[in-house]
Amino acid sequence: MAEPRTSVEPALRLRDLTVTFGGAHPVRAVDGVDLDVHPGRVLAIVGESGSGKSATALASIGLLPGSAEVTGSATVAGVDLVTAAESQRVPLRGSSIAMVFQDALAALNPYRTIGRQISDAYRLHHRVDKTAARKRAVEVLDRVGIRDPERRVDDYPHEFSGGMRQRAMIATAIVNNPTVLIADEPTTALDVTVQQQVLDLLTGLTDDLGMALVLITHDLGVVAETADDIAVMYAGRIVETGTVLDVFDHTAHPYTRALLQATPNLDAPSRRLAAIPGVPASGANRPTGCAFHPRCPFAEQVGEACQTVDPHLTPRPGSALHRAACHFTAEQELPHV
Amino acid sequence: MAWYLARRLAASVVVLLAISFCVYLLFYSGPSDPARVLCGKPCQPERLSQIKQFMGTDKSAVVQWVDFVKGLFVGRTYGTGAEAARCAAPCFGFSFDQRQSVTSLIWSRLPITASIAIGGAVVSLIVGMTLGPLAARFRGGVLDGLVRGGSLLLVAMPAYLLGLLAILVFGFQLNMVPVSGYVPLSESPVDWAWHLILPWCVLGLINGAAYARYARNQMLDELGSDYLLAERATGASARRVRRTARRSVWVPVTTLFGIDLALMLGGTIFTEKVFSMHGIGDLLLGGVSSHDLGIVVGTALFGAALIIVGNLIVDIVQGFIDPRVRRG
Ligand SMILES: Nc1ncnc2c1ncn2[C@@H]1O[C@H](COP(=O)(O)OP(=O)(O)OP(=O)(O)O)[C@@H](O)[C@H]1O
Ligand code: SF4
Ligand SMILES: [Mg+2]
Repeated sequence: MAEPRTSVEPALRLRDLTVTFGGAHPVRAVDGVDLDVHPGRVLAIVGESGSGKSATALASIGLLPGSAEVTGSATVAGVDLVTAAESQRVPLRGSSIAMVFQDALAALNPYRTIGRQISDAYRLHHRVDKTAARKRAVEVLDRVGIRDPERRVDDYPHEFSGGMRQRAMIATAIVNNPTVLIADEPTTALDVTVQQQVLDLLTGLTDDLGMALVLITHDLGVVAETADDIAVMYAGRIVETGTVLDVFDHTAHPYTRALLQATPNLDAPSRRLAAIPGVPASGANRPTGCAFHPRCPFAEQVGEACQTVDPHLTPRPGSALHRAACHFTAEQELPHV
Repeated sequence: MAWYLARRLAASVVVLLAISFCVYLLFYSGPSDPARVLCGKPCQPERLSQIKQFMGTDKSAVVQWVDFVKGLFVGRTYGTGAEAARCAAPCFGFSFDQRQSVTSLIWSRLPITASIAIGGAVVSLIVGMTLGPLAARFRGGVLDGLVRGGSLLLVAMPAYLLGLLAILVFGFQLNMVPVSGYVPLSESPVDWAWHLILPWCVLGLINGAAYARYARNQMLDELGSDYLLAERATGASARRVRRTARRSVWVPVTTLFGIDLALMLGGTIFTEKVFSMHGIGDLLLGGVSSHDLGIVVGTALFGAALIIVGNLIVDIVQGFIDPRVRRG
């Protein structure tokens, strides 16, 4: 794991990123998210379903549907993808910021060969002929661990196994050496045995290419093994962020604590989030004050503030990068259990 | 692919045999006796049995069917001696009224029906694949409303009504195009097309409206799919992604096109009637009104055969455009 590189320009910088889905009942899916992702580092975004992880990812790459109103900024290669014109965003996608989706079978074009899809992605950003692009496709397939890539390059997605498909999709995402790669639950759809291989591939690529990797996951075990930094999201906001070491060892938010406690053994093979008591809040039904207060075991101790006052992310003593948004831990450490 | 083809071919033959059996039973067990029709009134019993023998209707229904199937493959001869009539393979039956094999009757009418059908199918494809994706692109707009409303209207509108309207407006009111008759392509390609323009547009509009609606919905489905989002994430422009989506929409639309074309090749009854063109549909209608069962059964089976062959071809084409079928 690399050391924090705060002095270096982040590869992806989110500031006050806010996403509101319109309609009769507007839903604020993402609410004022600030994040820096640095080259060569892996940032994990975790949180329950509906907490706004995917919306954050899609806003970062400028691919939310027209029904979403996005404010704030998402800066990649000096361009703010929130305010930039589409003509400015298109050339950045794939070359500076790329994305890997959860379900590779759905995310690959069933009518086109794997090789065609990779070389098309390459030719969008490089003026080369088809032969050169195909050579590049074989090279990238080899890099992501597809055996016999010269032959497999002409296969269709349905001829690949689940794990190989995910590798192929990673290949289309990294073919242009992006500076930021967002992987939205890249292993959720895979067998447990294959999950680890794909994660190893992603972290290997992060190191080799010096990419910044944003890894969206439900799985705190994955976070422990692969991520350098973590951002915990609840109801569209980041409630705790810092290095994985800080957040796991000096947890400063009751929600993070609950997530960790719901994960019985970080080394066990199946580590999906077990349920946390209470109903998850979302942008649609955000409680007043701290959104976590209806489920928080410490809210009573704090008193009224939890129900009325919005806690802000504040740095933990001794570590400017470890921040949490909680009235309780602003005053004291979370008690050990 | 070869194995898949062989299986499909075998299945087609079986289906065709089954259909022919049903059609055969249905028509020949009906109240109308072709021999009696031919015999006329008054009809001597000896004459009737002579005719029955000639037609082969003196045998049991199953034997008749076997004779018919045999005729399809090797041809058959009706009657004996000087009166004998030869019906070459594939023999779809015999019109004793016109003393001609149904096959040769169909064959003589086919150019007309084929001209109508192929032109109509091509127009509907053009209409559908132009308007559908455009309606999807400007979803909720004027064109989208027109496509959705228009397709509902046109689906409900019978072809002959639209045909009559077209004749009234473009033929009589505006006097732009001829309203009836057919000119063979070999005689004058310009006149051929000129006479066919109205039927092409009528069929093209009716089927094309259905295609447009289908293509629109399919296009919207495609545009919401993960793989197009993923393509955009690689840096493809919205326009390029729409092109990808259109390619995917061609796959199911080709199926519709193939089946509709086969259906129309079997006879465009109303269109031929309205535009006074003597194609296979007209042949069938004539056969019905003159109680010429040979023609009715023959053209019905010809139509069924076309649909089955059309299905087969569609499946093969699907195999070429959809790799999941081809290399499943
Ligand atoms: N296209 C959309 N239109 C309207 N609301 C949406 C849309 N996409 C997401 N939302 C809403 O935004 C909120 C956040 O959704 P998001 O997909 O970001 O959650 P997530 O954290 O990725 O969840 P999961 O773990 O289930 O993937 C949810 O309340 C969701 O219902
Ligand atoms: S602010 Fe209050 S309710 Fe929210 S997490 Fe902290 S203690 Fe719990
Ligand atoms: Mg998600």
